Amino acid sequence: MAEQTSTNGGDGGGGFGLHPMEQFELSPIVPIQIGDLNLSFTNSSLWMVIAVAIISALMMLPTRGRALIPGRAQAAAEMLYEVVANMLRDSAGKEGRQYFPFVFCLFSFLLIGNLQGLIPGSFTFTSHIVVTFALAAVVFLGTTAIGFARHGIGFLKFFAPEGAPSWSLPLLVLIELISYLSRPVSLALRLFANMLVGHALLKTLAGFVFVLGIAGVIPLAGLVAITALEVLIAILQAYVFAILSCIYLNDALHMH
Amino acid sequence: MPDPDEPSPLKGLGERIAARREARARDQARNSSLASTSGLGLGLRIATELVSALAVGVAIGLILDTWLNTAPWLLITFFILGAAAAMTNLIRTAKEADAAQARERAEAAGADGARDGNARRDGDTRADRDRERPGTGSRTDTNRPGNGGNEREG
Amino acid sequence: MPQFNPEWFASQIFWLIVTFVGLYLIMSRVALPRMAQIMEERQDKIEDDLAKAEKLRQEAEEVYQSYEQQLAEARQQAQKMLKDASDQLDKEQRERHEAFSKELDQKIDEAEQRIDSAKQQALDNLQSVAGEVAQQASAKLLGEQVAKDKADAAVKDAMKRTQEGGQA
Repeated sequence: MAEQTSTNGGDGGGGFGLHPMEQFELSPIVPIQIGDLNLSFTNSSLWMVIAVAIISALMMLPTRGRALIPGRAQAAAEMLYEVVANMLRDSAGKEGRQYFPFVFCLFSFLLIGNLQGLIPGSFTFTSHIVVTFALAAVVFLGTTAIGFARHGIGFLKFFAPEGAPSWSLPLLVLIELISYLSRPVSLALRLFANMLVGHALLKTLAGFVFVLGIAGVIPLAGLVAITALEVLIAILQAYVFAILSCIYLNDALHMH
Repeated sequence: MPDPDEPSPLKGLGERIAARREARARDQARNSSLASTSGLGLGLRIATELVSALAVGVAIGLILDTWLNTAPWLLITFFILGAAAAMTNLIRTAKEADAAQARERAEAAGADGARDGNARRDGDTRADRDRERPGTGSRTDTNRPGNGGNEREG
Repeated sequence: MPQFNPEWFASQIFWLIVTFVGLYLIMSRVALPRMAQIMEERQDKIEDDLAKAEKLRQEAEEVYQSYEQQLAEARQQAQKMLKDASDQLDKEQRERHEAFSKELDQKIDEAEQRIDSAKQQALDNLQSVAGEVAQQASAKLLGEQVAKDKADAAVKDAMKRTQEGGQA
């Protein structure tokens, strides 16, 4: 691919190694090879670890004192907790409670992953479709398993729309099945595409700013605006991913 | 000498307690829908849902074609089915957004109702709390603008 | 795009699983239960405080009511006392006034009586003196002694007539 050459300094967009796609390159930090599998600890892995560290610090450090009146940091942690709790309760009701830790991890992991991607020089692991698809697949398989565990074979009724004439049933079931299978795809694709486009755009604009020097003020204003938009999108996309997971969970629990 | 016609000086305190209770009930009833109804979120959802349903249809068609050696018929069939699924997704998402909006409006109206009527008191508040506890946790009353306003009252 | 380079798929998924499971364990075992506990405690505390405030307010309200009532009673009592005192004063004054006027009347009566008796006495004296004078005058004029009784009766008669004439 073209990006392979760009890492060697042959890119025309940035001039300072600011090729928009370069930020998505993976590079091993600790090469690990097990059998045929390359399980190297990469920059992506590093930022995943950092995300986990940030979330743990946010949730654990301010709550050490178990203060009744929250400080600023504890208030932030509580807000995160509440957003997820509300989201789960509104979407999946009471039965969804037991999956709260998972939804919380999902949301906070994606949120921090998306946000830390806005730091210059960082790596956005949520801009990799493998990562988003893996998470989407976990949600998809998990909710499907919950559906079958709760309703047994009756969960298949989920694919048969009520009140449809019987001759059209096979067709409708097929359409419903495709719709159902498209869930993880859309989940993964949405987050991936948003992060990819947003961050590529940011990098491109940043490249312009550096190349243009004084005249870079104009793209700089754009950069600031786009960065603000990207922060919003980073939060929004993590939220959308999590809330759709909650909705799918609700479907599995209640079958509409 | 206090005027016997003058209302009790504790009336203000009672009102403040009632106002605080109502604010709490309102807070707990309020849901924080951040993205589900916002235009941007909705647009992004619909676009990807269309694409992904189509993609899944095409993928199934391709796989079945290579497996059953029926190219390109199943691809075409599943492309059409995928398009149909995309439409169902589209309609479903739109309906969900409508329902969410309606719910939000109803809740806003409900919050107004709670402000007017004092009937919504202890029992309701406790019910809300129970309803709202995910796992072992519960929601708390992080101070919201409404509360601050009440505090300054009186 | 590097995203579609299968070389790193395994590494990405592996480290995703490692970090996500780690995060899940930390959150579900430590962070979230602690958070839930803190928030529940606060919830209960706020609920308790509100209930306590309401209770205290009710108590204060009761105290205020009883204070208000006592005040009203005291006021009523004071008014009653004031009225009693003024009634008493009125009564006493009236009694004293009556007693005084009675005494005065009595004294006036007495004085009148005294005056009357004095007048009567004077009149009597006058009569007897007039009688004597009339007797002596008639004796001098007529040269004969008029009986004292007759003289007295004539004087009396004359005086009665003068009195009636004076009165007419």
